[in-house]
Amino acid sequence: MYRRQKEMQIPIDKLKAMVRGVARTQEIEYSCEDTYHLLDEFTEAVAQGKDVAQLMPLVQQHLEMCPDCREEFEALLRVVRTTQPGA
Amino acid sequence: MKTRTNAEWLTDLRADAKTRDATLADLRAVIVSGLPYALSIWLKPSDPQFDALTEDVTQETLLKVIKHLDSFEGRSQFTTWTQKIAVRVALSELRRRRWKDVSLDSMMTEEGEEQMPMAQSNTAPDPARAAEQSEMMVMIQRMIAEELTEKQRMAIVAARINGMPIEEVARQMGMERNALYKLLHDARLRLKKRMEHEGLTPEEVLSAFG
Repeated sequence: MYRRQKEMQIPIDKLKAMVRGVARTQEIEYSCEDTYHLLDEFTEAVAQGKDVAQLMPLVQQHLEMCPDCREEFEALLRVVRTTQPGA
Repeated sequence: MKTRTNAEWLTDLRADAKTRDATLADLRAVIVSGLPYALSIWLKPSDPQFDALTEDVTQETLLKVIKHLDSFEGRSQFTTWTQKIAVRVALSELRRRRWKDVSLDSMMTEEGEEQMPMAQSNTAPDPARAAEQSEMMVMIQRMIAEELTEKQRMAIVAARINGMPIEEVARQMGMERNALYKLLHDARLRLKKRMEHEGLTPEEVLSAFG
């Protein structure tokens, strides 16, 4: 018997963002917890102007894919830059 | 406030009650001083919710710091590690508040009740280009329908199309955030492989939609 399935609505801008995400997908990616574990170190490295894409590419890639982790990184970076200007 | 090295923070937090209380008071000040910057795009200090949220977040963060003290590896400054915990606690709470009245079900529509949705979004004035877009839309809809599970489709609609935080999607689906990221990662991988199998490059899709 035919089962009514949930259907999805995709505006074009969201579709394009999704396709870009699919294109950047790697076989192995860090999880949110892997990223969280290293986020303090990563954020200090960014604040110090280090080349994090080279030093911690998997964290960088996760932050590009995961909006929640990216928000947390950006929030932590604001704190580090303001409260530890020499970090 | 006393300036401490990482080792001194750890020693003082493990010391006698008097030293520990003084250290916790200093750490509290560190958290409270950082939160306005962490929350600046979410909540202004003038917001009526701000003070209560700061107090709750600070309290919960201090408890977590004590609980997880042994897991601090010294990869960063101790205060950055603490602020990281505060950021996670604060944003989790703000996400929960912002999305508490939005259910996953409200984001889904029953098939047949709507026109082919992406065709409605067709923006190309040129008929040939419009036809190309429609064809591409149908192909992508088919890939999504054939490759992804219902859970994956639901997660994509909520997180990628409606912008619901994945933490909140996970909560509503009764999953851990980590597991939901994995679900979305698997979905992306499946779509990537299917596109490769169909000989369709992301560039082609993107250029079709201008």
